[in-house]
Amino acid sequence: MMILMENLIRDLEKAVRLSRGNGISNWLVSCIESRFVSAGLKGLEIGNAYSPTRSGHSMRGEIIVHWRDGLFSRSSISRTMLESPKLLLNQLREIAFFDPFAPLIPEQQKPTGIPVLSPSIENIVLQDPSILFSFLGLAANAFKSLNTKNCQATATAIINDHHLASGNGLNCRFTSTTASFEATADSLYTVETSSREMIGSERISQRLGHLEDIVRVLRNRQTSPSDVSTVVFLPPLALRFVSHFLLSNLDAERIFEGRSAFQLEKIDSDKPLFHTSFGLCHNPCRPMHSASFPMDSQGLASRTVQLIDGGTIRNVAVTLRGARQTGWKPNPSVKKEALIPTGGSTMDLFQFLEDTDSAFVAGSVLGLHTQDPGRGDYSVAVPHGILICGGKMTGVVKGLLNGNFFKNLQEPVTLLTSPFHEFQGLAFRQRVHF
Amino acid sequence: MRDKRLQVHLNDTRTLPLQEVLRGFPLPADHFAILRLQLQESLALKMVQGNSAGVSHTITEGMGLQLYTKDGRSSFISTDKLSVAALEQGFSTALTLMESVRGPHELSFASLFSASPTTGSRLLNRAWNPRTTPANTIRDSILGMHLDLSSRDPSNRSVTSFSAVDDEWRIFSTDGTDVHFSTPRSLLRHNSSRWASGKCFTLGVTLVGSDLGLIFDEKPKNTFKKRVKVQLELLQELVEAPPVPCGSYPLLIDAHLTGGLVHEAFGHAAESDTVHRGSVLAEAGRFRKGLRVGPESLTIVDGPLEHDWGDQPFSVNGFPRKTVAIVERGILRQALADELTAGFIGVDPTGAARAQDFSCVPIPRMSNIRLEISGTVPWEVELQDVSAQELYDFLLAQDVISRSEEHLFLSGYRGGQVNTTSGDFVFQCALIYRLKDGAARLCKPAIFSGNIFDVLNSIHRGIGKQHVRRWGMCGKLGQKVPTSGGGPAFLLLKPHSDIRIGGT
Repeated sequence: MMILMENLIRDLEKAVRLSRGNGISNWLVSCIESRFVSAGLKGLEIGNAYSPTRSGHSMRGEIIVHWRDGLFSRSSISRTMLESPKLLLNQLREIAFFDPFAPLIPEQQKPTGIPVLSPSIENIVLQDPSILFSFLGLAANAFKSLNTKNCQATATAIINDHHLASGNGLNCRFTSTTASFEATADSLYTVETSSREMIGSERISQRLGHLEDIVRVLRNRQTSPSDVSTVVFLPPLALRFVSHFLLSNLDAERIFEGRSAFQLEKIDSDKPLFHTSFGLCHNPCRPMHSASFPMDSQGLASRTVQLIDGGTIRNVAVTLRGARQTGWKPNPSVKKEALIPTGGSTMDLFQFLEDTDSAFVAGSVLGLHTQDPGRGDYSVAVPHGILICGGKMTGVVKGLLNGNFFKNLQEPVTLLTSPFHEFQGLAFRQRVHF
Repeated sequence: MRDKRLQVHLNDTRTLPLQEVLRGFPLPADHFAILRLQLQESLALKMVQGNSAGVSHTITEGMGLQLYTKDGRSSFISTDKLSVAALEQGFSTALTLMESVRGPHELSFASLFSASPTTGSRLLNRAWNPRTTPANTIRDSILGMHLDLSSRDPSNRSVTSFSAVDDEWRIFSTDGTDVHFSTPRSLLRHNSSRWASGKCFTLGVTLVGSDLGLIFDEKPKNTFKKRVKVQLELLQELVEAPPVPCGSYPLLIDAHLTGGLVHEAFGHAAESDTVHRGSVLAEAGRFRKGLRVGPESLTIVDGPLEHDWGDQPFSVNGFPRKTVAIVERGILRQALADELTAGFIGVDPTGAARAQDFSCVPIPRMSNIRLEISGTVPWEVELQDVSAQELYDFLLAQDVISRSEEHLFLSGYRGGQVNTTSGDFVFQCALIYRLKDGAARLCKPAIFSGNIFDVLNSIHRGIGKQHVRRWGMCGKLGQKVPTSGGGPAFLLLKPHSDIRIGGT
């Protein structure tokens, strides 16, 4: 891989020299090669046609070129294109266009020293896939106790080799890895994690141990109650809502172009958009975290950014192009897995449920991806909402949730921590239609 | 302007060395191998607020090698290097992975070993040929269109995008199968956004095709501009529109929504891997062939249409893709099955296996799925040319619905989701109209939820001719493939207590 990358950079530099007549003033190339190992389990099978034990790798990346005549090119690239640099440069010249906000390539930066590669995870990918099978064995045992054949699990590990280079001397290489595990029973309840700390720890076993209790409740369909006004989003669903409605709008380019729910004047406004207790932070610098990275594909070093503080939008995701549009300082790319809610009242999720007289708990919804994030309005179905009565899970009902997520966050929100999740759940007041 | 000459990348000169490795590799006798080669070339352009915001030209190629054993084990490798050395290394890795696979296995792949080899070719003219139509020519055309459309209401924010994709596949297997096909497609889209009352409202118009005709031929260009004009008027109204009260109503849905409904709520449940895992259309792991699922007038068909957005003439396991009646006269007849699970769930294979790209494992998928209703109310109009008021007036004049009963008309498909185990689904529409007392009033869109059996049994009438070019990108198990479908221009559904509209 590295030899190939060196050849690539050499070829590109050669091509740049050869094509001086075309006038390239600066260029940046970022490449990623993904390698992965995956194993799947359906019922008690491992390695069938739909989830075979598998391995693969491919290269992809992006190239940005500033031409001396003021034009700008940006294109995704593949191995096929990288192996013919002259042809690639010709293509890039052909698609070059004038962009008044073309991103300026930053001065050379050194990545921060994040230990991104876990040796144990590297072993999963490169040498020993047996850890994946041990996770699947845990799932298989949990499924046996459920007396159901309708269950699935997959374990995956991915290693990415990154290489960034630019005409102004940036030459950065680093490796990032992710590992994930997901088990679903009866299409009702999913145990999942992408946390490196979770994988290999006892907590996965504990969560699988909870499957039996949860699925028993979910199989008990209950008649609809007359009224429930407290809604609890379990952490994975809370992250999906935050990502769908907040992250997609917290983008400098969208804001500048008027396609975001938030307008320019709302940033750092004296009047908070959300309840003063609500905050949201993007932290891609946590050591060994799967969402951590030392540098993004634009060549920007990672750093922690407080997006929302005291209910006010303090920062947004600012690409290099967005920085030229708005005059704001650029931020590294935002990944939803690196988001952390801050502020507000915080309670243990399970303690909260025990203390609650009446609540509707949603672990997943149907239709969230179809909602327009620009309005904040949502109208989604909860096929397996868990009813809490007197602190106990009593059964499952269907429900419809209609509301506006921005308005939900204007009310006091309780953040619910869970030992099994990295993100936090949310509890708020909202009417449920049964 | 457009080049109609056929251009083939995965020709014999390129693939013969790989074929020789496949035929000559010393595989154990109980192993079967399928080699999938893919080359994809795409051009994507985006114009925002009067400027080019992005142009991308990408060529990707690669191969996936999948091994199967008679006792139901499988391993898979993929690489983006189309070379003899990469394939030989791939065989070695795939065999190593196979050794790590443990049983027991319900599935048997014995049918693969007994199937007859397939040879076939279906290659179409490319969507875009960079040699004859440079990217900057296309960019200039799109930018001109964008500036024209944006100027119609400068208070809106406008985004215009275009993409052309050429997908070429060649499939070989150890039994001598050699299948070669291409699926060109193109897409033109314009989104308008308006900021009001603290919210950003967006509506879009999309046209799909299989070449550059979308941007260079007068007819589609004029159609596109006309629809954007209507969209801008609707966007203005939508900002002021009230929400619709939550509840159950008699519904009218257009062909876009019907296509989405039959795709999400029914098609996925009829895919053989879903049936095998446990679908609402399965009983004890077998397809419920013969089950009545809807009225006598109902038929549901899936099959590829040439030059269609969801076209695929062969499965990526190398078998011809069949057109099948999943439901015939209200009775469940056939699943969308690949060769691996068809026998296991008690149906014939239909060549339904598709993959997003060479690095993905094939799974049964739809191509173009459409709902057909006998005895439709004839109306020779184009769906997009009919306003809600015109539709309401027509239905009142034909005595199809009465003035006294309120109906909701749901227009435009904005995506959906289904639980195939229970048959529960949700859909989002672009617009809702309340039809009451002779007037059609626009409301804000809301979720449409229910159960597929309830919906199929609530079908009352079809109105107008078939529209089967609804387009979409269907996601399943992490893979996205282009799919299409539709139904009669409009479909009338009787009210049902479990078919709900979200709202307030």
